[in-house]
Amino acid sequence: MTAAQRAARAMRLLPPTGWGLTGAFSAAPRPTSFEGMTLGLLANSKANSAAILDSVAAALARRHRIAGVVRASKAHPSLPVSEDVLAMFAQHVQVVLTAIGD
Amino acid sequence: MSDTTNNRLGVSAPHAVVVGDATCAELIERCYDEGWTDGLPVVPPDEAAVHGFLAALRWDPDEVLLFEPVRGVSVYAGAVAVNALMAGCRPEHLPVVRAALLAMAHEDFRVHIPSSSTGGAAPVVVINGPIRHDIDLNCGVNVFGAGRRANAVIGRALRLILWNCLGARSGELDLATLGWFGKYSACFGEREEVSPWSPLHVRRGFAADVSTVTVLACESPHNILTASGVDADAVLFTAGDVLASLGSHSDGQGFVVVGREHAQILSRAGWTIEALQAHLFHASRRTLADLKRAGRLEGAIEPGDEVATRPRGRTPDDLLILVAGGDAGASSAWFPTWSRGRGSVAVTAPIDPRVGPPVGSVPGPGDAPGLGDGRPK
Repeated sequence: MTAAQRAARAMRLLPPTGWGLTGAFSAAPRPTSFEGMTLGLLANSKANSAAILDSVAAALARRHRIAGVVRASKAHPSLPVSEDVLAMFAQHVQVVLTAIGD
Repeated sequence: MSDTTNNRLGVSAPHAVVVGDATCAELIERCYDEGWTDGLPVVPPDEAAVHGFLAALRWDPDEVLLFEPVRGVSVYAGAVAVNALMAGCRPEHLPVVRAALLAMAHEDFRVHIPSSSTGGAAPVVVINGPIRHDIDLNCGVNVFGAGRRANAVIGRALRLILWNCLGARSGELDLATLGWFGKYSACFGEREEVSPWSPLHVRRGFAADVSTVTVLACESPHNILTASGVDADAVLFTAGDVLASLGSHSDGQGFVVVGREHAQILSRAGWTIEALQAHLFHASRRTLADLKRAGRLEGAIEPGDEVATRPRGRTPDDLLILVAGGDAGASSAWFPTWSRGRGSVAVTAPIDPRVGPPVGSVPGPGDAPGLGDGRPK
């Protein structure tokens, strides 16, 4: 079979995934240290999510010199975080931790 | 092996995967290898066939049909065509899939919750209007079962779109504890022709000759089976008992799918749909004491809790009644929404978007009052 014949018999499959993803998001630079940083804790508002975040923040505080912690919660687990909370975090914290609980 | 994007598919299209000289079975296996399936085989998404779908429907592949705001994910018309093709759709099924997606895109549906919740809901699609005949949709015998292409492929297209476009894959985003088989496909039509009552879409504000889809995220159906030949009281007593079940008691809505025999019994006894809704709403009540014993409400049982009651849902209109199924048999079914609250509600969309926008329901919190209202316990 010639290359042309093989090409003619090739099937082009169009992926059902990955549409429009290019450039949709770019991750912020990952921190290399928590030294002197203020942590934002974003709970998803389900039971225990704040408790999980508090224990993680406490563990981090034992290992790193963290400047402080700012807590916030989503209004509902199924809704995006509000613009107000995002603006508050942008102004006051350098790293945000989030968690789900139930 | 990849190739450059064919811009006839729009700027949002990913690169085609080129598979040389493969048999049909090998192409299907390739789709499994790529992680594109829900577990069942799919029609290999041949690029030329996708072009055919888009041309036949005059769809812009870059149009966003659904945006999920929690994770910031868009579902493009081109991807919908690919997934619908893979599910086995023909072009005439795609307007229905599109309308269902527009319903699921409505803010009241909150598509992120039923796509991810441990509760394991499936989007249950009910179709009304003339399109049921145009696409040979099953509204009758074995209405929730196998055998009819339109029912199977429309529901499955939605599943593949959730799987491939929203990332609702088992164990990743979709963390359903049990799930149910409707998560492969759950789509059927109302059998309007034998119903003694006005059809669901008319009661939700559309003209009888308009075709619509109504989508509600539901648990698996609960059977409402009586002996044949019983009277209306027996049907209502049984249905009320099913709706009052503690395992699904919540603040949410549900489909009450009334079989033909039950519909005839109730109609002959003079039951209007409004009276039926009011009766079942009342019958679904459980005492606060029972709800506390079951852990569906917090707190100790207090004086008065054995008398005070709470219904399933908020109003009688939360019981979305419709008629479907075969002529023989004394069966009906109750499809409750799955959550402890009202995290997602029914949305009805016209299949022809020129008719108007989708119509939602009154939304509410994901947890019932007393279960936290979203606050940590």
